[in-house]
Amino acid sequence: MAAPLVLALCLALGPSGIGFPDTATATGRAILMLRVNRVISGFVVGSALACAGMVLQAVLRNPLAEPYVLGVSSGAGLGAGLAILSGLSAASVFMLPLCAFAGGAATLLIVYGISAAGGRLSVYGLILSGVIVSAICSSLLMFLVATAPVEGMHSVMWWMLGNLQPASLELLTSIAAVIAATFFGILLMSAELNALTMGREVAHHVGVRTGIMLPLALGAATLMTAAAVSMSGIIGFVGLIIPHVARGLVGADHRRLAPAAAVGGGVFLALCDALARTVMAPVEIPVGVVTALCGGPFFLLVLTRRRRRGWIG
Amino acid sequence: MSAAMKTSAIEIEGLEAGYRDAPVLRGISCLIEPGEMVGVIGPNGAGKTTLLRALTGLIKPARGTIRLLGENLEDISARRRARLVGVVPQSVDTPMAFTVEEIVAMGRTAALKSWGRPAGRDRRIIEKALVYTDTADMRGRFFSELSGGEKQRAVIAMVLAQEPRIILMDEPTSHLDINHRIEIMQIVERLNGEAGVTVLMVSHDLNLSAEFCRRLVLVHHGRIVSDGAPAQVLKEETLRRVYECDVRVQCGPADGSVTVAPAPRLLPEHSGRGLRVHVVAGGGCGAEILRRLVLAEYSVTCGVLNGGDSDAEVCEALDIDTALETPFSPVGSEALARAMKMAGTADAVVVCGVPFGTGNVANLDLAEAAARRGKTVLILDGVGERDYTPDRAAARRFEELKALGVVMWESPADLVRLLPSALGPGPCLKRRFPFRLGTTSYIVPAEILPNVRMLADRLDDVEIVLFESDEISNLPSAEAVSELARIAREKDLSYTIHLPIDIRLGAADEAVRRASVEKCLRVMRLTRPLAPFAYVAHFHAEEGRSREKLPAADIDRWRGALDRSVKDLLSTEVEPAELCVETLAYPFELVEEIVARNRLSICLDLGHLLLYGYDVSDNMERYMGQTRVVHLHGLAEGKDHRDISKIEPVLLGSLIERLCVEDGVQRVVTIEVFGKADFERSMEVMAARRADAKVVAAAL
Repeated sequence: MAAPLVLALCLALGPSGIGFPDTATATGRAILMLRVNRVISGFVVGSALACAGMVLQAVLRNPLAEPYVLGVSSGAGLGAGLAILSGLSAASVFMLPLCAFAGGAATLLIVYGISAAGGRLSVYGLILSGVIVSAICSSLLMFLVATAPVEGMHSVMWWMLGNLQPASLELLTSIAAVIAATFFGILLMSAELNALTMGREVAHHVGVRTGIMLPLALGAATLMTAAAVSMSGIIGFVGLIIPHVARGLVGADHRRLAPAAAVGGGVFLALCDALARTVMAPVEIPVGVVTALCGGPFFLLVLTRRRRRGWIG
Repeated sequence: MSAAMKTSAIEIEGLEAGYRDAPVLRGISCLIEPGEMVGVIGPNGAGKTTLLRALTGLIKPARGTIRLLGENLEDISARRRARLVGVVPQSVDTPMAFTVEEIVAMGRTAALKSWGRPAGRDRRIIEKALVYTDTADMRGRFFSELSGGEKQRAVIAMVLAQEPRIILMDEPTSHLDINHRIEIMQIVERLNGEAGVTVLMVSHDLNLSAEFCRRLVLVHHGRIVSDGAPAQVLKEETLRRVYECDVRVQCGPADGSVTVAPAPRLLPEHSGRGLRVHVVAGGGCGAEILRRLVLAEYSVTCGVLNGGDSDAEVCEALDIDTALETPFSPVGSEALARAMKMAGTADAVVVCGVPFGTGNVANLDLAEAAARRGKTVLILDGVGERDYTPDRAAARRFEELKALGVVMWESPADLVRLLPSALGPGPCLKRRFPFRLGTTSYIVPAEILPNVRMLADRLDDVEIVLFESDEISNLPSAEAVSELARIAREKDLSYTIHLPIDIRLGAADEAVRRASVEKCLRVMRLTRPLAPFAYVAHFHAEEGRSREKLPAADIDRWRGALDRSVKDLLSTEVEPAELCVETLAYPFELVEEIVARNRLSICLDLGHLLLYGYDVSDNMERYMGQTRVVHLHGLAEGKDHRDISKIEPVLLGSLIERLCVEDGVQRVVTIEVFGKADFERSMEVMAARRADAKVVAAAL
C-alpha cells in the first residue's frame, strides 16, 4: 500500500518549507514533532469521518448520508460555541472538545428519541428529525455568534472551519483511542451492516437483532463523528465521498469496506491538510476548502469510471 | 404435549395482532405440519402479510401464541429463528452494489461469528444454494442489475443458505412474468418435495396458489374463513362473499385442477345501458352501490336524500339526478313527489342498508309503489334490522314488501350481478342442452298462465304443480288448458305435470287410497290436451310421514296399496313410462321393484336426495337409466327448493355431464324453485354450465 509513503510525504510539507526538517536542531525537532502530530490527527479524523459516513450510508440506505446528516455536527458546533463564548474553553484544553462532544452526542439522542417515539424507528423519520434538529442547533449557534463580542465570534468561526492541529498530545491520544476502539466495534458488525443495507425486515429475517444493531451502529457513527469534530471542527466532504470511492475500489462488503474507508479517509485528509498548510504558506487555507476543491474533481473521475461498483440506484 | 406427538412446523393459537390502534388479526388458530406447502389467500387488508410478520417476530402478538417446530417464538433468539424460518419477501433491494454471491452469503449472517468470512461448511452451503437455484452462473454479477426473476432466485438462494426448516413467502412472484413465476414456484416446490421444507406462501394469485399448494387458507377480516384443499376453499360462493366480486371457478375433473377467473363484467348482458334504476340510500350506505351502478352504465336516480348527506355528495359527484330535502328535516311531500316521479320512470328500485327512522321511512313508499306496479324492487337482506322508528313501522313495511315479491340482495357485488336478470329477460336457455330444461309454474306470485307466458321463451319445459283440496284448488279451467296447449305449440314448450302432493297412493285406508287415485285421474284427464311429457307422483303413504324414511307403519301393506294404485292409474290411456315416481324421504329401494315391474319411470330429485342424506352418485348410477325427470334444487339453512348455486359445483357438474351423455332417453330437467330470485340465480348457474355441456357433447 502506498498509504505510509503518502503519510511520509505529508511530513515533508509545511509552512516552514518543503522537505524534512533538520532533526539536528531543536527548532527542526519541534517542527517535525508538530508535523507528526498533525499528520496523525489528520489521519485519525479522516478515518473517523469516512467510517461514520460509511455506516450511516449503510444503515440509512441512502447515498447522500454523511456523518453530519443526523445533526451531530450542528450539535457539536453549538457545544463548542457555548464553551468558547462562556469562557469554559480557557479552563482546560479538554473543555472545548468535551463540550463539542457532549453537544454532538446529545443531538443524536434527541433525534433518535424523536424518530423512535412513534414506536417503530424509521429511516425517513431519522433523516427528517436529523435535519430539523440540526437546523435548530445551527440557528441557536448563529444567534449566539451574532450577539457575541468580535473576538469570540472569530474563535467560533475559526473552530467551525476546521483545524487539524491538536491542542495537546493528550487530547490527540485520547481522541485517537476512542476512534480506534469504535472502529473495531464497526468491524465486528460488518456482516450485520451488510444485511441492514437490504432493509430492516430482511436483516431481521436473516437473524440480525435490528432493535439492538441499529442503535448500536448509529451510536458508533455518532461517537466517531463527535470525537473527530470535537478535536478538529467541522470538516466536510470526507465522510460523504470517501465511502463511495472505497466501495468503488473494494466492493460493498463491509468486511473489506470498513478498513478501506478508514485508510482512504485518513490518507486523504492528511494529504489535504498538508496541501492546505503548504500551498499558500505562510497563510493556511481551511482544510475543508482543500478537501472539496482538490478531492472533488479527482473523485468525480473515479466515480464516473467505477460507479457501477459503488451505488446502483 | 406428549413427546410421542409429532411436532407441528407452525402452531398458531388464538393469535391476535396488529398495529397500534388497528387490530388486524382477530383470533387465528392453525396447525401446519412439517413438509406441508400451504397457500394463504385473501383480499387486500385481510391480514395475510400481518400474519407472516407475526410469524417472523416482526410484530408482537397482542394475544395468543406462535410455536415454530414446538419452540415458542418469543423465546427464540434471532440467530436461532433465522435457522428455523427463512422469508422470501415480495422484492428485495439493496442500494449498494453487492454481488449475487455476497447477497447469498448474507443468508449465513446468523451462523457466522462476528467478523468471520464464510469458510468451510458455510462456503459449501452457499455453493449448494447457488447451484440449487441456478444462480451459480451469475454469482459475480451485481444483484441490483439482475432482472426481477433473477433477483427472486438469488433471494431464494439467500434464504436457502440459512438452511431453514420453514420458508415463508410474501407474494414472491407478484412482480414476475408468467414464465419466471412458474420457474420460482418450481424451485420452491422442489425444495418442499425434496428437502421437506415447510412452505407457507401468501399470494394474491389464486390460480398459482391452487396449482402449487395442496392446502389453502383463506383469510378474511383477520380470521380464517376457509381451510382445506384448493377445490374446497375456492368456491364461487365463498370467493364472491370474501372478495366482493363476481368470479367463476372451474374444476378440471380430469386433473383436479381449480381455476378462478373474474366473471365477464360489462358484456352486453351485464351492461345497464338504457336501464333506469332508482336508489333509496342515505348516510353513506349507498355510495358503493351508486358508484357501481354508474360504472355498469345504468341511468341512476336517487332520493329522497337530505342535503349534506354523504350519499347526496356522492350523487352530486357522480352527476346523479337526486330528489333532495333540506338538511336535517323529515322527508316532505314535495321531495317525495319528485322521487316518486323518478322511481315511476325507473325500471327498478333498489333499497340500500339505510337506517330508517320516522324522518325517512316515507322513502319506502317508493319501493311499495314500484312493487305494486310489478316493477323489480331489490332490497338489502337484513335492512329491517336497521329500524329506528318507534313503532317498528319500517320492519313491518319490509315484511309487506317481501310478500309482494321483491328480490333480496346481500352485497353490492351481489346486487350488480342480480340486476340484469332481475330487470331484463335474463339468459335464454331454450334448446341449449341435450335435455329439456324447465322450471316450475310458480316463479312469480301469479297464476299458472302468466308464469308460463314469462317462461315460454326461456325454457323448454314448465312443471305445472297442481293441488286440489276442499277449500283451495289451482286446477286450470278448460279454457286455460287450451291456452296452455296453444302456447306449447307456438313456443315449442312441453309440460310436466306434478300430481297433487296431498295424495296418498299407498294409504292403508282403502277409501283414502281410492280418493287419491280419483284425484290423480281427474288431473290427468284435465291435462291430457297438454300431452304432458310426464306425470310426477309422490309415493308416500300416511299424512305426517312424508318426511320420514319409513313412509308407512306397515311396509308390505303400503307396497300392496301402491301396486293397486299404479294399476288403477295405468288403466287409463297413460303410458307407463310417462308416470314418474319421485325420490323422496323413503329409501328408493322400497319401491324399486314396483317401478321396474310396471315399467314406470323415475323422477330423480337431487334436492331431496341431499336433504334426506342419500348418496347422490350412487342413486344417479343406479336409477339414471329409468329416469325421465330430474329435479334440481339446492339446500340452504336446512330448507330445500333453494337456488341451484347452493349445490356443490362438482356434484352439479358431474350430474350435468351425465345428463349430456346420449343414451336414447329424452329427459326433462326441472329447476324446482318457487321464486324469482332463486330462479334467476339458478338460470345464471345453468347458463355458466352451458359451456361445460357443449364441451361434453363435442367430446362424445
